[in-house]
Amino acid sequence: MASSTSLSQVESDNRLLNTLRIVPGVLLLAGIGYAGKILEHSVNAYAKAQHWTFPNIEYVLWAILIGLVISNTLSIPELFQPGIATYEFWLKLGIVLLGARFVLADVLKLGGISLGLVVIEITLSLALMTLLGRWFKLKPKLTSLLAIGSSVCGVSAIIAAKGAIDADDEDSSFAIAAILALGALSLFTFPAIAHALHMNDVSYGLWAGLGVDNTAEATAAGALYSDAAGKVAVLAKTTRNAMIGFVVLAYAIYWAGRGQAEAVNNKAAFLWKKFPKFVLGFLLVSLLVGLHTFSKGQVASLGNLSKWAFLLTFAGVGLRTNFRNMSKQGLRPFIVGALGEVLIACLTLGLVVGANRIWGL
Amino acid sequence: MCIIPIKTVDYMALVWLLFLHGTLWQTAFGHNRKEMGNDMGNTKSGVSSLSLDTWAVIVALALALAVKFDILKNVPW
Repeated sequence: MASSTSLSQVESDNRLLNTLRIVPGVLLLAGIGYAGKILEHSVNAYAKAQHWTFPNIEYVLWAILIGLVISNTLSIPELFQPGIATYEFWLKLGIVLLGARFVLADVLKLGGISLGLVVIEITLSLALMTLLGRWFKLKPKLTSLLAIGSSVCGVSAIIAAKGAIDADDEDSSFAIAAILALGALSLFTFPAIAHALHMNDVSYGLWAGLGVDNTAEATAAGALYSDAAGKVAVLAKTTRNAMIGFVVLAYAIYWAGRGQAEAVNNKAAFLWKKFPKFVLGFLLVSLLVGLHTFSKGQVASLGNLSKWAFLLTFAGVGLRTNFRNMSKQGLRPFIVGALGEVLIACLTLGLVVGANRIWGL
Repeated sequence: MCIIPIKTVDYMALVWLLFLHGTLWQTAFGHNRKEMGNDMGNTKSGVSSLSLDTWAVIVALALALAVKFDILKNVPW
């Protein structure tokens, strides 16, 4: 009795200690994000006061840039790492709360268009990355991981597939590094191209959601263009994320058929296990708003809470991007990834332009 | 508008229920944490055995409840 009491006391102490461990890093994320917000206001106000023609640089870019500078010039103490790692939690929290800013009918309409485009995008991306992997003679499982990462949802998909197809740690590190490096580049290239093409918010949001691989980078790339584009990018990316189970299942069956992965016995359970559950939270919040559970002011408050959560995410995107570490992973997978991403970006741009002509987005 | 005034204590009870539900959900439907690799434990923080997705939904719904019951009002941006 006494030993079980002391055991639960130890567990409780550990839990408290673990919770406290995330505090410094979370404060760092909040500090960087808020500094980005202050910089946006002060730089714009200064430029206006001086009558300069200066592009409006949003807090998103400032937060990412500050994070990038810190992670690539300073050595971030270990003390901050657990808290920085929570950026993915803030991302998912932000997405669930973002459901408040969507009427369910919009989700169904835009989600329906996204779903159609996502299916085409995934099919073509998988075929393209598989071909490139073969041409560059990459290891077959590394090719599979790159194909899954670039067609579905970046790092989460690679990690989900790693276990299912029994891939090496080294291969998944290669694939993750390539996806992250290319995601960081897309933050700067996607908005620039869209501005040059004068894309509207919905078209650009769809393009960012379909073309940028990792959810955090897709959200940031959308928000960098405009608030409305950010919303659409999250919706398109979430639709893509929802497909993770199907793609990973297909690869698991393929590799199991070759005797190089465990066989999948219960396919429905497998699909449910891989389904990103936060998508259900997003739909639930959207449904609650649609049922008029919240007043207009309350909906605005939920939308603002979502923006605060994203603020921490964007700081995390910058902080965890370390180009030195990425370069250590080797050049070949990066070249294959880069080639594939450029082609996928062109392909998805074509899809969105086509959809815009047909449905008038 | 809420007819019955709900106090902070009631709100705390609702959030506790939400957490409990999240734990049950995780036990019943939780994905394999090692395979998904997206729980707090695997992202170095090691806060709990709940998955990141479950945590995100629980915290989001707790915040939505706080807004609904006017514990959080006029959140600025």
